[in-house]
Amino acid sequence: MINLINPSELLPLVKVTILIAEGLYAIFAFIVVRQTSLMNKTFQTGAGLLLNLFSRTHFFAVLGLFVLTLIIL
Amino acid sequence: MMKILYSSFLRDPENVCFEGEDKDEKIILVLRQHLITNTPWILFSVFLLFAPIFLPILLRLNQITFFSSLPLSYRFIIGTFWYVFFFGYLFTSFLGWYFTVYLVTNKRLVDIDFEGLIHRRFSDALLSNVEDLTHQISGALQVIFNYGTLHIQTAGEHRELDFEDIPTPTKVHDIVSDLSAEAHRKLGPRHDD
Repeated sequence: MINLINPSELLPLVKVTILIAEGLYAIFAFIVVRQTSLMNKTFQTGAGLLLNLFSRTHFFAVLGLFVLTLIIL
Repeated sequence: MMKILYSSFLRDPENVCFEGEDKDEKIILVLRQHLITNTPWILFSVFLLFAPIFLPILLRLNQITFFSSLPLSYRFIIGTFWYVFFFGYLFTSFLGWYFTVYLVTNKRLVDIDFEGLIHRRFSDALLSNVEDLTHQISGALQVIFNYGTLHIQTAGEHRELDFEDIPTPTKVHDIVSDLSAEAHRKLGPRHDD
């Protein structure tokens, strides 16, 4: 069934789907940043800085990907 | 610093403290669930890592050419998003294990549970309130890797604390038992009143 559909006709729908998925995932990534920071306050260790860095890098990677999707698709 | 990242049994740890820690309080043990309990999400992560390689082959073998017909830019974005998602899954799974800790201090027992991303629970019990300790090792995996659960019955508001799937529960039982006995001894005359 999936091969009866011409992919080029669905490209706008695919783009919108990807953007929605990335937008929702960006919200999730932001929650991860907040929770990591909160948990680092609850249980403080020498690795706290590294974990905060990872969570923020992940969030900005998602944002960057969102912008990239808008540009190249 | 590196030991705190992967250890599930740390004695007298350095550079570790928790919210609400008293000035004269010292953390004696930091416990987490045994590393082997992370096997399910690690295996799933391996699947996610290699899926973009074998999934397209599988789809083509089943005559599904929709995804391989997409322009390269779309496949690049989908592939990149897949690996960002993979990192997110890996990281949040690790955080769930890392921040679910059981602490034994010179004053109390602390249970910090971090489930999912939006659920956090903090329970504690004074050592002088510990009434009963029971540890349990059951199942082949627990016997082989020597981990299990320590059930702590207390006289406080939270009547039971459970240190689940911790390594060497016998040793932890012994340590908590000694600390609790010491705390009861210090309270001695007042406790009898």
